[in-house]
This record gives sequence, structure tokens and C-alpha cells, in this order.
Amino acid sequence: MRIRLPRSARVRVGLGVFLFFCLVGVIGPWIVTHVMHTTAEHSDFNAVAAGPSWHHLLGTTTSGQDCLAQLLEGARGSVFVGLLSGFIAMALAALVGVTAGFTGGITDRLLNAFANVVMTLPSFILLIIVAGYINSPSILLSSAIIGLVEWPGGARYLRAQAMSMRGRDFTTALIAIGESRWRILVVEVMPHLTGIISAMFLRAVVAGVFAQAGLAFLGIGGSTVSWGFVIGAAQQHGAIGLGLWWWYVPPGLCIALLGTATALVNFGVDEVSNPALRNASSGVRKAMKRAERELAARRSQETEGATA
Amino acid sequence: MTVADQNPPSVRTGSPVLEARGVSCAFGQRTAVDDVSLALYPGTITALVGESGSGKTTLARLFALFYRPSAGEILLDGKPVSARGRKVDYYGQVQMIFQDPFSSLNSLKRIRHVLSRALAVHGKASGRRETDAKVVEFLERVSLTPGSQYLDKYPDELSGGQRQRISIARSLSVEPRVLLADEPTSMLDASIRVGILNLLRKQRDEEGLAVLYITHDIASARYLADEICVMKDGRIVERAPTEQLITDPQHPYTQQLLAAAPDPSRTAWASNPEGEVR
Amino acid sequence: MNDVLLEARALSVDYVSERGPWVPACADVDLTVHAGEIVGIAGESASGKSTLLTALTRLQRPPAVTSGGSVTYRPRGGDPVDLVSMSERQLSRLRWTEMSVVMQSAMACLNPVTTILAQFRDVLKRHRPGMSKSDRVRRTGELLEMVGIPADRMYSYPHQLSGGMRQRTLIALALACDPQLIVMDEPTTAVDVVMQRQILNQILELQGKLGFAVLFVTHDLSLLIELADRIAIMYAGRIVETGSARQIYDAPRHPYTKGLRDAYPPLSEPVRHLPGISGTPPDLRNLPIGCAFAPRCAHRFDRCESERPELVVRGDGAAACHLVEVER
Repeated sequence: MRIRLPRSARVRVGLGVFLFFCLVGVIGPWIVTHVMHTTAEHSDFNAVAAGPSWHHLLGTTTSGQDCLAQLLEGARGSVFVGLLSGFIAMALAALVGVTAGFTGGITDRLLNAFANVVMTLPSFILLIIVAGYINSPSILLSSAIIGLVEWPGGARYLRAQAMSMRGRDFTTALIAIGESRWRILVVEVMPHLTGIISAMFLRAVVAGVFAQAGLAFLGIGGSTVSWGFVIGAAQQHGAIGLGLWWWYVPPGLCIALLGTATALVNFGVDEVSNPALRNASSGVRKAMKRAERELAARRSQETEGATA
Repeated sequence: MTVADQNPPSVRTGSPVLEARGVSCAFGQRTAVDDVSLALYPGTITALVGESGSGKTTLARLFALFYRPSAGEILLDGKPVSARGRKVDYYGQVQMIFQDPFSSLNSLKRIRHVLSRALAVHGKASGRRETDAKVVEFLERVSLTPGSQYLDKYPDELSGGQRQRISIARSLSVEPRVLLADEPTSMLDASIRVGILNLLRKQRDEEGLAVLYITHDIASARYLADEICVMKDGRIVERAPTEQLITDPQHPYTQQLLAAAPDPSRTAWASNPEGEVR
Repeated sequence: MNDVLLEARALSVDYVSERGPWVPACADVDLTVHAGEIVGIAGESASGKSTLLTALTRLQRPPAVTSGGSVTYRPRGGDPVDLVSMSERQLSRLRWTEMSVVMQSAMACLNPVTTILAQFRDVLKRHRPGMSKSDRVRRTGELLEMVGIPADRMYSYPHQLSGGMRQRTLIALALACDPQLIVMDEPTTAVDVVMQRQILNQILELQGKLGFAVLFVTHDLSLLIELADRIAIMYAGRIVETGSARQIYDAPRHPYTKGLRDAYPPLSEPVRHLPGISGTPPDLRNLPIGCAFAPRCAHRFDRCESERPELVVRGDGAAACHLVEVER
């Protein structure tokens, strides 16, 4: 299989930001213990509700906890839930969507109806009800719940993609060779969908981060430290009224940045899959401008040469 | 030398390999193929000429078992074929070549994969070495020489004509007895087309294949085929040995097709050779 | 017949790429269209024929740029103008009234949500401002009947017409403001043979009656030989041979033209074995130093690989081949 690296600058920046946060999620807690020599829960009573300083780079909370430590610890909670829920959602979406689209017939109708039903359920309210019912779910459980709610949109999109694949000549040609349907699906068709699936996975991850943040903010996301959890705590302790912006702004920014990163990647993916956008892309526009300048210069040179 | 000279009439003796008997096929209200009977003989190229919507592609797809006929049946060696169930054995005998060489190959798979899957499905080769050798053999049979040079290429590194040859090589590697060629040259440049037609003729002559050549281009049908069937509105309106159909068309529609086809040798100055330009 | 209507000189078109060098889709093209003449351009895919056509009509889109040369057009009762350097505003005054275009895909050219009449009305309103409403309706009906479509079909939407009718509607639309030149890009490729014949006959008949010039671009040389007065053959972005239709058919000078002519099986002559042309067209990003056709040419010699042949005039035609130069 060929792996093509995305050429678009937007996709690269988006992917960079995304990978950066994944990295922070992995090594953040390690930095907290081994570099900062503290924990997210440790209270420094010499600096309560203090602004950023050399000692506490991002200030402290009303109980003297280091905000940077919380941010780094929280990255793990948020990113882990995002990744796991995204994986669950995409696995379900691919299984249901691609099977439905490629098989067609009654299987398609049943699976599609099921996806439609799940999709019409208001997912966040469903999440609140389930999470509230389970009462302080573990990090694994909340990932699973989020994943189970987030898949139908992706399934419908992949179904459409798989349907178009089924209509392509190359799959018909493979049937005429005598290749079995599941092999055509797994070996021949799936590689065409990996690009779309990975872009959708990214989106699902961020949706998972958002959902988890929402639950944690409402206090039903369990007791794991996460960005939503930190913002929720800040809200409970009146950080906004007290003007402790260093407490709630950084985790909020992190969430927003992740959202922006996926948006960038999706723009790029659109450009690749939609040729009309490709020619309007900034790269081609710039190249055209350069070309026009160059030609104008060439022409004026020619006229100068003619007059000289 | 005419086609008839190249192809002694004896080849038509014997029984048909593949046959459609009273076949009909409808999509909703529209009848695409209406009570058509057509037999394909070994070592014979049968051309099916018609315009878009005449039902010629539907008939090919009925032969390829992509659709189930609403009436009539498809017979292989005189035995009815079912469109249900596994068809691997059938596809080992009957192969199809598609119109668009840019979409009939998976763009993400190397040529080696394309051909070796066909070999593997029909148990024609096992082991990497034997498979590669066979793949090269079939690539060279379609004049892609040296074959080894193409093994690791992707379809989009090849031209349309080369891709169509790959498609044909894939079909031939199954060692079929019938080739269904659905407009195999209509997406190709003129300079490449004749090469593909010559390749199909070679399969008839050397392997004794029965070929169904579907086209809208009656001149190419005359060039290639032993027998021409003209199809219109889902029915075969005329069928005759090639030269007879071209020189003495009976059905008005055949006459219309012949009159409409571009043919520079018929222009006023071409039929009037005096005043040679040089 | 001697007044030059459109004249391209050393016209070059490149495709600008984001990185890497530009791709020369058309190089140094000289082309002349006289008033009332049918000129055909034949070429295969990537020969540059469509690029040339969009450059001549200034319909090209990024990333194509006209990188050199001029296109002189002589409007009725006016001084010659250069289409390449003209502003969009000046150009729009020439469109429809002086020069109109018929494209391959009628469905893509006609607006699917308005009636045929509305589309004729738009053009007539813009370029025949003095025309009254009833005159416009009458003119639309007249134009449709000219191409063999009943006048009452003007109230139809494009999707209600057959493919052939849509194509003929486009031709009628192109004729709406009596242009001197109609540029046609494969106008019959999407329709069946019988309809193609009807459309071509209609074009010939109207051309004889109204006297406009036609620039006809197609991949189908056999069709062009029957239709055109003069033919230019393109290969790898350059014109490799020009000549009268008869000369191209009877005595082609360039080996590619010969090969292309022999690529069409005849219908009325006896069938003989046709060899076709071996090999594949060159990659425009990586053209050979010498003749672009040399790798596929059976007559090539050393010089073909080192030096690109220029178009050499012979009689009323020209060919870019070292063999022709040798003939001298």
C-alpha cells in the first residue's frame, strides 16, 4: 500500500498540533512528577490563588494546587478519553457503514435504519443520563459510553463512500475475476477509505475530548483529572468572579486548539477530495500570481529590448 | 487480404461455448434486453454493434452474470448457468474486459497484485516465484515487454492503452474460453486502438477464444469480427457474416449506421481519384 | 476566403505548478483561420488541442497561463485586436457577436434550472439590446428551427431534451448573434453516430448558408477529413502538420499523421491489417530533446533524437519532420 504524506500546509499544522497534545498526554504526568516534583493534587499553602510566577508558571488554584501540573495531568485524562472513544466510534462506524454500503440490499437497509435511529437521539443528553446513572464512571467506561454515542454520523458517511466503491468498475472487475466479496472489501476497497477514516478518527477524538470536558464540567465525568474537570473545579470555586484567569483559560485554550487542529486537517482533506477546491487552493493561486509577475517581467524586457 | 481470408469458415463448425437463449432483462419499466438469442463459438469474434441505450452492455453483463435475466437463460457448453451462488468456476471460463481502463484497475494496487490475484483465485500458480513468472508471461503475451518492468508499477503510472492491456492480461491469465469485451477501445486514443483490436484477434487465432466484441463503431467491428450483430432497442435487428453485413445491409437501421459512420474514403474527392494531390 | 479572421502566432500555453517547472501544454503554435473557412485541429489526449482552444478563446482557467505569442482577431469593420492582452470587458463585447463557443458537454453549458428560451433571452438581451421581447422570442424559435428543433421546444428545460437536441441547442445559441467564428470543442463526442452525422450535416449546411468560419477541435481525424477545409495535427503540444483535408488524407507528410490516418479501419475499402502506432504519447513534463514523436517513429534517425524539427512549408501545407526537410 502506498502512504502519501499530506502536502497541504494546513493539514501538516493541524496534525502537528494534534500530535503535540497526544505527546503531552503521554509525557505530561511524567514531567509533573520528575521535572516539577509535584502532583496535581499537592497544595502549596504559601501560594494560594497566586498568579503566574517563576515558582508556579501558570499560577495556583484557590487551594494552592499548581495549575500547570493540573493542565499536564489533565491532558492525559482528556486525550486518553478522546483517543479511546474516537477509536470505538470509528471502529463501529467503519464496521456498520462500510458493511452496509458495500453489501447493499436488506443488510444495508437494517444497518442504516439502526444508525439513523441512534443518530436522532440527542447524544449529549443521552451521555448525561448514562453517565449520571452510572455515577462517577471510570475513565474506560466514560470512553466507552462516548464512543457508543458518537458513531452514527461517521457510519453514514462511510456508507456513502462504500456505496460509491461498490459501483466502481474495479470492484465489478474483481467480481468478474471470481474474487470473494469480503476480500474485495477488506483488501481492495478498505485502503481507499483509510484517508477518510483517519480524518474522521481525528474528528471523533476531538468530539470525545469535548464530550468528556462537558461531562467533567458538570461533575459527572468521574474523578480523573482532565481539562473539563479543571474548568469545572474553577467554576465551582468562583474563579471567574475572583479573576483567576490562569486557572480556567489554559485548559479552555487547549480544548479550543485541538478543535482548530481538526478543522485544519478537515479543510485539507476536503481540498484533496474536491478538485474544484484544489485549483482554488492558496498554493495554486500563489503559483499563478508568481507566473503572471514573471510573464509581465518577460514582456517588459522584450519591449525594452525592442526599443533599445 | 480480407478478414474472411484470414479466418477460414471451418472455425464456425462445432457447438457454441456460450449462449444466450431468449434472454430478457428489464430495469423497472424499461426493457433493456428483449428476447435476445446469441451464441458465441470458439475461435470466432462476434461483434455486437449498437448505440447507447441499445442494450448491448446489458447483454454483456447478462453473460457475465452481473444481472439475472427476467426471462430466458444463459448456457455454458449447453448447460444452463445459474446467476446465484459462487461463480468462480464460471469466471474461470468466461472473462470480461471493461470499457474504462482508468477505473477497472484498483489504483492502490501494483500490477503484480492485479494479475497474481487472478492467478491465485483460479489456482493457476502458487508461490511467489511461480506466480511472478506467470504474471510476466501474461504481461508479455499482451506485448508489455519486458514484463518484469511492469510488476511493481501502479496503474496510474501507465497510459490508457497499457492499462487496457493489463486488464486483458488479467482476463487471459485465468485461461478462459470466452472473452466479453465491452467497448474495450472507446476510451483510448485512436493510435492505440488498433493495437488492442489486433491483440484480441491474436487471442482468437492463437488460443481459439470465443470473443464478444461490443462496440458503437461499426468500422472497427468490420475490421475485427467474423460476424456482426446489430442491436437496437434491446433487440438484435440484423446478424450476418461481416462482409455480407457491410456490403449488403438488410435492415434500415444497419443502413443508417453505415451511412452515418465517418469514412474519409467516401468523401467526394476520395472517390474521385483524378487530380492526385502531391 | 483570403481575409484572415483569426491568427495565432507563436502561441504558448503552460500549466503552472506549485513546485517544479511549468508544463508546456502548447508550444509555438501558429494557426490561421480565414473568414468562412472550416479549420480542424486533430490530436489525441494530452496533445494540447483543448488547451490551445481555451487559450484562443481566453476561456482558460488556472493553472493554465498563456506564456507567449499573440492571437490577432479581426472584428467586422474594425481594426485587428490582440485577444491575449485584451481586457475582460473588451473581450465580452466580442463574445457571441464575433466569436462563440460550442463545448463538448451540452448539459454542463446549459443552465439546468431555466428554460431554453430564457437562456437565449439572456444572450440576446445583452448583445442585441435594441430587440423587443417578441422579437427575441421569434428569433429564438427561428434559431431552434434552423438546427432542426421545433420552435415550441424553447419552453423546455435542458433535461427535457435528448442529448443530440441539447447539443444542437448549443449550436443554435452560438449562432444567435451572427458570429464570424464558431469554435467547437468535440461537439459530437457525447452523441451517437447517427446523431453525430445529423449534427455535422447541419453545421455544414448552416455554414454554407451563413458563411461563418468554424474552428473544430476533435480527437477523431476520420471525421475531420470529411468536414474540414484545412487540418492541423497536434502532437505533444505542437502542430506537427498542416494541410488541406485532402492532402492530409492522400499524402500525409508526418509519420504521426500517417499513423493516425491508418488507425481508422475503413468501411468501404477492403480490410487490411492496420499496425497502429506503437508506444505511448510522451510525458509533457519530460519531453525528449529532439522530435517528440521520435520514440514511436519507425523512420527515426540520429538527427531526430538530437534536434527538434521545425515546421517546414511545403505547398499549401507544412510539416515538422526531418524527413520532409531531407526531401528538398
